[in-house]
Amino acid sequence: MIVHAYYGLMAQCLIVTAVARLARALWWPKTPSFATLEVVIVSALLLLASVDGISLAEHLRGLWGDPSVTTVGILFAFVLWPRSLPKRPTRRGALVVATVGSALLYLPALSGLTLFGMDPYSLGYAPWAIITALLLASVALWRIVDLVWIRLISYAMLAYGLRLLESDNLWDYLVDPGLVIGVVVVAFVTPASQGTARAEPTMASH
Amino acid sequence: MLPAVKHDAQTITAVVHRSVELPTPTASAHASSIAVLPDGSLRVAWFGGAKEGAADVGIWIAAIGADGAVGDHWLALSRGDLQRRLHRVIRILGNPVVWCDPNGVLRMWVVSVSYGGWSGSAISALDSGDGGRTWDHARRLVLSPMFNLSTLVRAQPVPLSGGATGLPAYHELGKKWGLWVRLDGSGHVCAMERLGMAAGNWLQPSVAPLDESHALALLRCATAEVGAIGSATTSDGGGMWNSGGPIGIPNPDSGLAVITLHDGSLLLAANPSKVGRARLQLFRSRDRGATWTPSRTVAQQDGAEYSYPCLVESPDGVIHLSYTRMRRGISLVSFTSAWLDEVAAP
Repeated sequence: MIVHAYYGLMAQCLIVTAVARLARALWWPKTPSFATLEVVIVSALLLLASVDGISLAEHLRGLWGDPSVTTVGILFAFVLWPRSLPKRPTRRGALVVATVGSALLYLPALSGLTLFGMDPYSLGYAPWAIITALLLASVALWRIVDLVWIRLISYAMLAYGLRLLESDNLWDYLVDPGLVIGVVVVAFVTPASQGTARAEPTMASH
Repeated sequence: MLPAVKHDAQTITAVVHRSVELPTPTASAHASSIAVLPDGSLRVAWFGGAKEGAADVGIWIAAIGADGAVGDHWLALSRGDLQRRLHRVIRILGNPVVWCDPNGVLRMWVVSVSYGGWSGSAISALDSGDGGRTWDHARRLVLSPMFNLSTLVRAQPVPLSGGATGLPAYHELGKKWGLWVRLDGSGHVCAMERLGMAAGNWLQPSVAPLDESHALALLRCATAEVGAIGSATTSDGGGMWNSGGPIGIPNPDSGLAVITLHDGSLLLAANPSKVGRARLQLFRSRDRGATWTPSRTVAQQDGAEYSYPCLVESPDGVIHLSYTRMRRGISLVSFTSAWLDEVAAP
């Protein structure tokens, strides 16, 4: 439980820091940036400020839960290591991933629909088929897909093996609604020539 | 796989019937659940507070001796307790389900809401090694990819082979459907299946095992045009559930409970009317749920509410039924199969 809590609370700090940095990069791009310091300040605020007897981070955790390992990896890179994010255009691929992800997981979860009588989300509790498919896709797309995505998926599967999140379902380590929304926003908002790298802060501390 | 249903060669012939009203420490009480401990005593849990959904609602537990005597009662879990243990905000508590596993550990699953109403619920699990006095190992069951929203519990779990547990659950946001959640010996989710149902909204499944591979789930109906208890069946130990259609007993969008008795018959507690919860009645099936015969009426009064039954059978063959009384208290009725057999119909 305590590992789950640490993961969930630190993930909330990362989300808020990323949103703050994104807002600053979009609206006040010329202000100086100190990524590590921002993470520390936001984390201190969210973990120490208390409302109704619990921290702000715990309120956020109740609101939208714990993000996937993939999301945390992207946020971590965006905040502290922006150069690791892919520079190539990602618009089309991102939209495909977001659309397929939504269709597979979120439409059935909202509407009660199933695919051929099966709930795809439930496959994630005994995920050998998903793991096999991901491994095969990684090998097949090794030269096409940015290595950072394969690395993120590997981290997610490692975290699943360690049960780093509360969930026993592999899908929750790979994807979450926030990631899908974020991918769609990035695909539509950023110029195709810049992809996700568009949102990088102008002055990273690293 | 489902456990083999034990059919005792010796059926208890003594007519036993006793009824008690449990203590009412709060203005409102609802949604009780019964656990039978290894020593034969009971723990009855319910949620109580100023009113349903209020911030002061907690999970209360009453101890009932093996002789039926009502012992003490205590606040087992408050909203603040759970949010400290889960490290996330909790605004509402409800629907506790308690059950004693084969190792003597008392397990509780409880519905909690962080933001919004009941349809924004998630299920949390806790364990107790001291009969429900203290609770540990609080954890969240993640059963939905949409922010883990809208999964709830209400009915008793079913022990499965290999130390696993089958937990009936349901989804309530928008369309409503039943779920069958398989938990391993340490309480982790290892499978989840939807209960295939006829058109309409169905929730709060209660599951009765029929043999090692077959089981019957009965569900509350939330579609007024249907207005009858729904059913689903499995023939592969819970791997897949198919619609069995409505069973012909009216249901006013009200909770129900069904169990398999030691003699192999099924016992159902429900509100058999299209509107209102003024009558709580028992029904019996001796043909694996194909037909149901009305049995005793447990409580009835015009304009009253007797609802949300919970049924369990002790190893000694005594059947225990708890239910909500007027949303103000919990009643517990204990009886034997012989008491049911005294009447063919009310």
